[in-house]
Amino acid sequence: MNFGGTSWAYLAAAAVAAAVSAAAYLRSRRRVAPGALAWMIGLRASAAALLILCLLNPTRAAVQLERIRPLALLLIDASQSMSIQDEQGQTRWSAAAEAAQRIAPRLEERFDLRVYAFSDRLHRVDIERLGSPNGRSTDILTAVEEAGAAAMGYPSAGAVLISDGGQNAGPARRLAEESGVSVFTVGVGSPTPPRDIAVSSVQAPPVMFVEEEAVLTVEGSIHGYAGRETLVSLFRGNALIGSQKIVPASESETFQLVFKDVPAKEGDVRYAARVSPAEGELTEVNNESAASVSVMRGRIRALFIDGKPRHEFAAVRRALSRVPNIDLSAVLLAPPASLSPESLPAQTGRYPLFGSESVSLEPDALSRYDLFIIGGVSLAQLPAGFHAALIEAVEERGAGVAWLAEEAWLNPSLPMSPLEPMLPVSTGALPVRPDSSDFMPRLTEAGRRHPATQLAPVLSENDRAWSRMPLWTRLYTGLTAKPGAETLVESTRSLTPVLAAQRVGAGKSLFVGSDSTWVWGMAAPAESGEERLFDQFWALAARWLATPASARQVVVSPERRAYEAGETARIEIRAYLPGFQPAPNAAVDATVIDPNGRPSSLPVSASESEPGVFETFVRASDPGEYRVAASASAGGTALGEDEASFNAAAPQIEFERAYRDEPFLQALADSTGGAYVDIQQIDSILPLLKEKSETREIRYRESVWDNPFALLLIVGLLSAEWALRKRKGLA
Amino acid sequence: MRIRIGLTVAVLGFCWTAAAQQPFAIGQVHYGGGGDWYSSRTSISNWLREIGARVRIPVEKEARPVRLADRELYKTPFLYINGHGNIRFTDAEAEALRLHILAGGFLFVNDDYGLDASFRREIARVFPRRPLQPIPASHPIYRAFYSLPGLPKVHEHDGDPAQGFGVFVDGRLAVFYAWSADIGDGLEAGDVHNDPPDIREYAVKMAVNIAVYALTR
Repeated sequence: MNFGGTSWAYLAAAAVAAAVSAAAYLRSRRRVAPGALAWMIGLRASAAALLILCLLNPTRAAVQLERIRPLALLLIDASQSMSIQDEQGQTRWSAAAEAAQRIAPRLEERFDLRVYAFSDRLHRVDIERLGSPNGRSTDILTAVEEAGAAAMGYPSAGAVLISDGGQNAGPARRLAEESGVSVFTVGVGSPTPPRDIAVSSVQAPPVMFVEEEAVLTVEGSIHGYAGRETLVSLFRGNALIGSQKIVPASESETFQLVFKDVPAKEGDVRYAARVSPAEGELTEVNNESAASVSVMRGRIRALFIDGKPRHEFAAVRRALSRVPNIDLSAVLLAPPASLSPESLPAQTGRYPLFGSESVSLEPDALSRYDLFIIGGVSLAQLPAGFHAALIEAVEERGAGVAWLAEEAWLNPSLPMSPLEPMLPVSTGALPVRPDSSDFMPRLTEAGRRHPATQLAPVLSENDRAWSRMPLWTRLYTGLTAKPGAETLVESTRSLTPVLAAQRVGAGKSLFVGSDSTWVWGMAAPAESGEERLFDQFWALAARWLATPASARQVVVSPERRAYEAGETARIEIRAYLPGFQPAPNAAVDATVIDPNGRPSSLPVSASESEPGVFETFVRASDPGEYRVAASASAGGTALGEDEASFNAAAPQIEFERAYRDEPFLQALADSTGGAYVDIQQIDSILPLLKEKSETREIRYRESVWDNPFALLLIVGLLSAEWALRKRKGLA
Repeated sequence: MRIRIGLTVAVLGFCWTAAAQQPFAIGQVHYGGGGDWYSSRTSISNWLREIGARVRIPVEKEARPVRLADRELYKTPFLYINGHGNIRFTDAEAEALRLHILAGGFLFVNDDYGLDASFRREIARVFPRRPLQPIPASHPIYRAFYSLPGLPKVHEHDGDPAQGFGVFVDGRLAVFYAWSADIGDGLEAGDVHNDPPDIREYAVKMAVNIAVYALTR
């Protein structure tokens, strides 16, 4: 017997109640025989004590035996390969659904039943509403593990898993023997590879240039069409670039075709590779693949100004000289005092070294340049009028300017310079000095999608290229990115900007925070003629800088240009005030037109970290091109509008090994103590599921006072005490 | 607007202060084969001092001894080979030197007398498909800082005329070999070899030109 609450307090209260009852009688003036008095006191005290004891909520332990039914799991593969029609005239999915619906009632008779559909993830479904097979990949092992984990604590009858066995997702690991569930696998679909022609990808450079030849690679595979001619065509928009014939010699072949194109104008271009559907082909979904590419202006005229001979000047100059279609003028400006009288070529206050006679820094001559690189030169050394001409070239004409950090211009007079607003970084206490210790540069989220830092065409390869970067040195610390600027690369140690970029009117500005990037070039040697990442960075940076940002105050940028249907694309929208300062309070509207031409509006939210930056998300349900348009206004004044596109490719992994993988299903069954059968024999596995139920002791506590007997006892005691008092004349 | 900018530029002119950059270093190559790679250390100190004074760039005070197989060779782009005897590179050293130069490094070789045959043999191992080429007097290396008519003839050696040879990488003169000139001796103090002042000055100017060329190409 257990009592709730603080027992001693209740017992004390019961004693007090009994004492008070006795005292009430003892103080009475009427004489009553001692025996009767004792009875009355005893009856009242007992009633009071009993009432108090009931308040203690006395309980007693109880045990009950309960039978628990075994739990059976029914898992049905809902990936896209299940839509293939090779199951006696039916799709695999229809065959699987019919079989599942036929055995489900029989399973429910014997077991508790949970039904799941799975592809790249697992979810419970109603056996009568199984949905459709649209999963983009198949992860059978994770599905078994998750279903097993959800059934923990129940006696397991086993899991019936209906699938074509195309495990193509999830981490590589051993079969799910430790899940504790016997898996009875049911194979569906043809065990022989289907006939199919697939275009798996169009590999294109992330950026192409007007009137500059670019190489595009089309990859794919052909199964079951040995000796048959297949025509692969590449289109730019709707214009045919070229076609190539393939005649596979064997039943299963992959192909890689190289196309070349010379884009004629700037803008976004969609390259699509297509093959015509073949008779008896598995699916036509994978007969086309596409890539979206930005085409930028071609030839660049660049002016590189530095202050003194140094390795950085030589390295950057070499890298820029290797950029195709660049006309580079490089000039060193030294203070006149540094020149000895005999030094040649001139006493003009500078010693131009390359094409010296033709390089002029007079304001009128600057109008021919698309790109300016300012190195270790004091801004005071630049000729009068240079500053205004540079500002005009960048802000109004759309030229670019790169700032190579150097103490010569990062001096206390910088904030007074009219060039300072063009810098993407703010300086704290000037002059800043370089930290001579080594540091590791790290790509930021903004840098991962910025054209100037795309060292590889694929996002993951670009991440890898930056993560394998050699250590850099001499980073200028104490600088922060200005509002509206983007930090593209930062130091892992101090988070100081290493590369920062921003728009300046119609032009662009890039800050390089180390004065020794040459170490990168020297530490990562390459064979002559090979593409060095250092050179590649400068080529990308030069081209990005030299391409005008146009006068748009609204800029729409998809996070990536290529997605897979079913993925969600993040779209960034930047809004600028008329002076091209960020517009954090802008009202932004966005719409998307899907590949079927259907427009829909998009919810837009402001970035919490970057003022003037907004984002929206587009779920690319269908393959094809998505065009996102945005407009913005601030204070009732329209800021402008912009649009951009991205491409969603049909997911193809589900069709790459789209035959029934019997060895995998057999191995899964064997490793878990189950069995494998063809879907035609699905009924044969029902007897194999474990019938054994479990009996469990359920222990609980039962209340003792909460019954009529306790009430009758109290009422009886009080009634008897009242009757006795009445009889003795006390009532 | 132009007036305001002009005034600002004028203010900036007064505020300009000398700026420090990474000091220029000369890596003196510690090669094998028995030659006296360590010779003329003081000439390198003099050379660095003259570069600092004349070009007005920060320089290290002493030569920086390096081995070609050092992991951190890349931190010293400018390499210098000097001596009188035999030069021999291991295969690893030859490969390291080749990659160093392809990455943007520069090698200056001074014929002190006696290393010609072994250097030509070794550089042919480093760049088997890039033979040493004569460098004409019109080449920019002779005008990188001072306008010079060609190499100085500091020591007579065998009486042959001084001649520059080089290896080009992507159009850049990346290895410069001064044969029968002995610029290194010309960089020594006057009382070391008793060279005439005008010859020593010529050698200094050529040595400055070589460094400036390497720092600008």
